[in-house]
Amino acid sequence: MENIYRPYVMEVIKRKEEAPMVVTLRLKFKEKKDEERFSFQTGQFAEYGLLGEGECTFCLASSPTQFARDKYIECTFRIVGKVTSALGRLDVGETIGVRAPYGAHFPIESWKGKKIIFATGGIALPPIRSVIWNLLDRKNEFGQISIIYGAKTVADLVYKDEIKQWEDMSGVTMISTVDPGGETPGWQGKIGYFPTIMKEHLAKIVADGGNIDDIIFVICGPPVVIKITLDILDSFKVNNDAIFTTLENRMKCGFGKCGRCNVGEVYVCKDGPVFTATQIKQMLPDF
Amino acid sequence: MTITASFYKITKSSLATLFAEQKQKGNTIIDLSGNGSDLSKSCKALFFPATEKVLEYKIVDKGVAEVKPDNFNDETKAVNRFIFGANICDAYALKVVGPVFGEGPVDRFFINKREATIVAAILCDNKKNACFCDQIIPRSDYSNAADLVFTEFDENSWAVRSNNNRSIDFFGNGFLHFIEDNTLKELFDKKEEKLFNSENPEEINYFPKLEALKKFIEKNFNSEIFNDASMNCIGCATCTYSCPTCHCFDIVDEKKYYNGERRKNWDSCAFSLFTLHASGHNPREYQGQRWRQRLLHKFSIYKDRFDKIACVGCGRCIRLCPAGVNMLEMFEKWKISIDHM
Amino acid sequence: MKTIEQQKAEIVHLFEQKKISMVVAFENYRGIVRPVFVKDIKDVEKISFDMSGKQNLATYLKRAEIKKQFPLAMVVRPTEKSSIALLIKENQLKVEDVLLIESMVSQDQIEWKKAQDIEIDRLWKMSFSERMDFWKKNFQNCIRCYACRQSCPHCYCQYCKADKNQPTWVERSAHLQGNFSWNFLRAFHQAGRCIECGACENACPANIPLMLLNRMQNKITAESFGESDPKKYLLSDWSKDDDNSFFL
Repeated sequence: MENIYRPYVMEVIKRKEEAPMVVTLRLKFKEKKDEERFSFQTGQFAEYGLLGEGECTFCLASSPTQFARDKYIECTFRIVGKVTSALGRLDVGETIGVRAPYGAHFPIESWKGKKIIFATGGIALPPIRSVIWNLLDRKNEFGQISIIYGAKTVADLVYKDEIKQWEDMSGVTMISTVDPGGETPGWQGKIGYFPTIMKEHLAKIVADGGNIDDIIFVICGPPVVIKITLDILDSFKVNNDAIFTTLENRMKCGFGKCGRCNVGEVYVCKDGPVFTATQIKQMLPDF
Repeated sequence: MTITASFYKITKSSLATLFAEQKQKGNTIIDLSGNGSDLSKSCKALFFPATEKVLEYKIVDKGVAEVKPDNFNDETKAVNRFIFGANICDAYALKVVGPVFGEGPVDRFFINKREATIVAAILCDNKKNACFCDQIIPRSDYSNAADLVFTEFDENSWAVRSNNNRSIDFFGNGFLHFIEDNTLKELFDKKEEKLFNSENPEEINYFPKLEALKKFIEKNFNSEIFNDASMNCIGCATCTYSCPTCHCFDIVDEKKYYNGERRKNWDSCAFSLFTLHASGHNPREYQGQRWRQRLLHKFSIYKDRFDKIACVGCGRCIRLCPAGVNMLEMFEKWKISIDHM
Repeated sequence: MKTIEQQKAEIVHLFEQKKISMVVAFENYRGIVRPVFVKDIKDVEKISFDMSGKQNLATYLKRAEIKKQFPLAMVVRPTEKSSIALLIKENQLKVEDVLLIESMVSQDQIEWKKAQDIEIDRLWKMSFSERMDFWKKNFQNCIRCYACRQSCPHCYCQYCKADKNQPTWVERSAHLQGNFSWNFLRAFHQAGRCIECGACENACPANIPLMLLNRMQNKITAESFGESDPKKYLLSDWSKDDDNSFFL
């Protein structure tokens, strides 16, 4: 019988600084048997912990298709406190404990044949990136994919290499933007907050005669920004069941026992973190 | 589901002998019937301790760590612990809070202890200050809240109701000291009725209908009423820690050089840091919001998820609160609005 | 000393003149004396002036929701007055934030302190290991509810050292080591500041005799460094003439 608090022991095989104070770690299982029995779906999260420091909740930032191919998972986080500082100092070869996978996943099977628009900003790209690569690995099953991603400054954009890859892919529209004042002299992308850029993009689609009902929206960001974005999508009369987001809240156990992450009657770790806009609007304003 | 109970009589001295025998065998007898503090009588800490080690590790080399315990033994645990003298409400609380740990991924730390323990309650003669168990616990559950229920037959002996066969296996031959006597059922019915109907010293005989309470809290989610009602609250964790059904916990790591442990500790939604995000955002910044969460979780959310409310009417939150906060009084103050829902 | 009627009239007058929006006082609710927050003239009747409440009302002055109501009035005993004097001295409160309405001292407090003196003497006569066992037995029961900290007006740090994790000064777990660390940390931070009101011991649900610890702490610091008073608090005042003999 399992000890549910016991993490998988994993090893850091790559460390990258994506942006100031933002680190990506690539992890591999130490035990073959753990690797063999592990699987997850896009949108789920994990508790990454350093033995002796504590645990932190981040998404699984790499896609399940990537795991199936190369047997590693990745996490991206900003260094803000005790545990993230310690995780951010980890070097290749060091040990980390991971409890995973937890939470509900994005129902990508129901998106087949549709166009997808991703709109996110800053450190909210990691959970979305898992979905993006999952879809791109099965590109012929889905329609045109648009990614609208903004950050405070050019330096704060994460996954800069992958943004370039997405820019060059066919079937993918990549729009990067930075907040007004965050541009560098050579900046070629847009300038503006990502909800505004998404609004412009949508307006253009409508003007060109595109059908909004054909599109699935995936948005992610801090609670305030999610609310603003939902309002914008409402103004375009987008069906709330076609809008997906991933919420975050203070979490500890990850499996619905410690009583910390509830938003009203919804446990973000068990019923979420993936929610549709319909579900968000029914929630009590407890986040 | 009707539970067939059996009724016995046992002398107090025989029981003491049985306890001594069990201790000799290496089993644990916990006697709560003496003068324990109100806090310790809620046997929550015997199943879900205030701090519990869930993992220990040793960093052996760079990239290599030994982590224990890996897993738990698959064999069913034999009973090795007997709790004597719990209250009916506290025994019932174990049934209420059990599903949190027993459903979903099973928390073996709690469930193993529960499976290895027999709980013997002693029927209270009367309600004491702030008790309101009759408002919460269904009358039929007074009888089968615990594995065994004791009540005094006379100065020298106990009348015992046994709700299952666990004690027979535990005491083995010693169980012969329990003399079967099914006429005792009447005594239990009478005493349970007396306890159930006894005057509620709290003097507040109002407990809202749950559906109405839920609507009331949701309708007034952002209103000032929660701040006003919880002004006295100083934000300690006394009510939550003394409550036999409160189960929120924290997971912390403690280390000394290369060794360390991961612990599961009691935590409370009453603390201001409970929901603080790393970004600095706190959805429940004010005590009123945290009080709203307490009421919503106990009387609405818990019922939706686990079919029972997270309360047994023991009254400890009212008795032990250092600032005089009284949940029943809050409900009474809002009675007219709640009943209108 | 004013009569109860005079004091109630004074409070009503303050409300009418819109000088305050709230009065913090004690009320008697079904035999229990507990704090009450009166925001309306019609509720002034609730206020009980017997002041035998076991809480220190000044502890509410650190709460954000109460600070929003400044200036407010408070019905005080010498207990609350001492705490307020300390808070003003330590720059946590301004004189004009709280209007004091004086009330009688409860006799209970004086009896309680006498009983404790006997216990402190007994502790003082114990050997070191006996005293250690005494505190071990008590701290075993501590559940880290922080009722002691929350009920104390002098524990006003926005982020208590016990809650910090960069670094972890005090282990959060309720094991003996963590409990010793926490209780001693608090006692040390109260050295020379504790006004011995007993609110912490009354609040403790595990019946730990916290006042023995705090009073012993005060006694020792007074012997070593002199008595604290509003003009010179041990931990918040410094002068060149202070004893430096223990510096290495």
